[in-house]
Amino acid sequence: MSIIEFKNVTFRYESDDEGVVLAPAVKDFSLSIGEGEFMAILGHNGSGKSTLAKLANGLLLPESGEVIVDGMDTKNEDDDIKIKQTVGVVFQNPDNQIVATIVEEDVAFGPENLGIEPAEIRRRVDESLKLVGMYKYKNHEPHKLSGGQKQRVAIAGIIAMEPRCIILDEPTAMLDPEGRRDVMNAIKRLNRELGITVVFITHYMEEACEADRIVVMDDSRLLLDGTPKEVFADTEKIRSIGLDVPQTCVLAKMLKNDGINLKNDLLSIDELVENIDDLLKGQ
Amino acid sequence: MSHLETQNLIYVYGEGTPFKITALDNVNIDIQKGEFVAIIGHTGSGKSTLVQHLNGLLKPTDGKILLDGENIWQSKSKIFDTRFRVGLCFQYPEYQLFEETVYKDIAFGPTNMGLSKAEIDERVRNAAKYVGIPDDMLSKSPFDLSGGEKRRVAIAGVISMEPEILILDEPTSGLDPMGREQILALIKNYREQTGKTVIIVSHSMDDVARFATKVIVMNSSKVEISGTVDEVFEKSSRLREIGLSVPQITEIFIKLREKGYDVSEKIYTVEQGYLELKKLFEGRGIS
Repeated sequence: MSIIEFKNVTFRYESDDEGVVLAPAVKDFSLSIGEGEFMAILGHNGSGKSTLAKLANGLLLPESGEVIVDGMDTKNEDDDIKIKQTVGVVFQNPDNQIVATIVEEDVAFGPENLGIEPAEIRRRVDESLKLVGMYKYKNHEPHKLSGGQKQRVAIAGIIAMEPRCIILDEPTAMLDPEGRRDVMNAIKRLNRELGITVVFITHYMEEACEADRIVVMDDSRLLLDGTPKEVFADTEKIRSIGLDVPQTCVLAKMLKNDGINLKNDLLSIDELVENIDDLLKGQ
Repeated sequence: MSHLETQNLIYVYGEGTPFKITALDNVNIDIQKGEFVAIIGHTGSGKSTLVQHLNGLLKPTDGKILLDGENIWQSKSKIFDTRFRVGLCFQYPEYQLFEETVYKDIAFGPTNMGLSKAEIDERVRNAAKYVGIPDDMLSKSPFDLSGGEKRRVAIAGVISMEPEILILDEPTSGLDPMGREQILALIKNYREQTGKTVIIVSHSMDDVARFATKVIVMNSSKVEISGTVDEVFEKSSRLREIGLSVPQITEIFIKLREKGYDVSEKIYTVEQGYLELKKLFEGRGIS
């Protein structure tokens, strides 16, 4: 069953200048996200990715079409709280998402607002911090943490509300390679160990490759939808919209164009090296 | 003679407190005129602390920084002069835009240098051209621009001071692939057209391999390796030990060598990789 469903959704922002009508940020967009999926949404700046994140839990409402979260229409105000409990969103800049002066208090902020019993809050805060590898920092001051650590605290704050789906809007864009790796690992655990549906918005193709399914956005529309291997097989299309393709794919494609009989779906370095080795050994 | 040089540079944060950290430990670097230098290293290795010394923003705990052979801290006028000759663009510089218009923001540096109105105007327009900001954007508020545009305006604000050395601390972080390519291309053009020295701090091995004439690798507050791209990427196992990597393409060739194929390890770009593999296949009669 799908946990989030976009049905022919169109959305446009209002202009600051009166009488000016802006182009839609999302145009006639349909997508069904299944419970338990690990999906990456890939697209360059301005392609409509972040708008999708805000539409998915009712922070923005569609101009036309419907967004259905676990059977609830986001336009229905009575379901608003239930929708936001079902779908949690983590944004790009960790500094804008931390509200408390102690790590564990920050993580407790969400569950406190849900009116949960103190003992249960304690359990959730500890579990969430352990999951993202930040438990030993529970008494630290958030502003003294690195960017990657802060982002993991922000993720723990969402997990503590026990949503069934988490949407992460470019959570690694402001982080260094080490911070990115730590955050990616935490996200993978959410999906693999807790079975939470993860929708991961990014413009790093290496990160998108770790998902089970990739949706590519361009010019406010859905351009491609498939497994990483399927999506990156179309190197020209991906590059034509200003996104990167793994270098292994580009190299394999160039050799294939010369008539070298490499496989079509080489994504990782090891796969390419194996395939070259096999060809040279004449297998 | 070196254009910019550090001699036994040491910097300690929080001296005399329990939080004392040695951020730079006996750092010696040597940069010639016109070089394109990349400084790489993982977080906390001392990269940003190092570049903040190069224009006198931080004062060394010990050691010297020499610009054209003269100690930048030798007198008040010297350090004042250094800050105009060495331009530093911080990480996420778009957060430092503050003026009402793009024009005024780019003009801020030259105005502080006490230049005439006509000179300031020429510099603003020149700098805007280098970063690809069109004339009609100059009258806009910088806050109405996109992230990539804001960053280009911020870089123009440093270029407009016409520094002899331009330093950019992670100029592409947080940008999408297209934005990243634009910024790298403008830096490359700027350097080719002006012949000036450029230093960038970067995390991306792929970018470093494509542009730099010299690479300085920082690790635990020290210079770990320094040399040409070839000399640095040759030490791939050491780079991995200190939390860095070699370009993806290079890794393919390292693995092929491990399997016993006679291929070069000095392959950093897809094009080089393509030619090398073609040679390999043709040598075995496969093509």
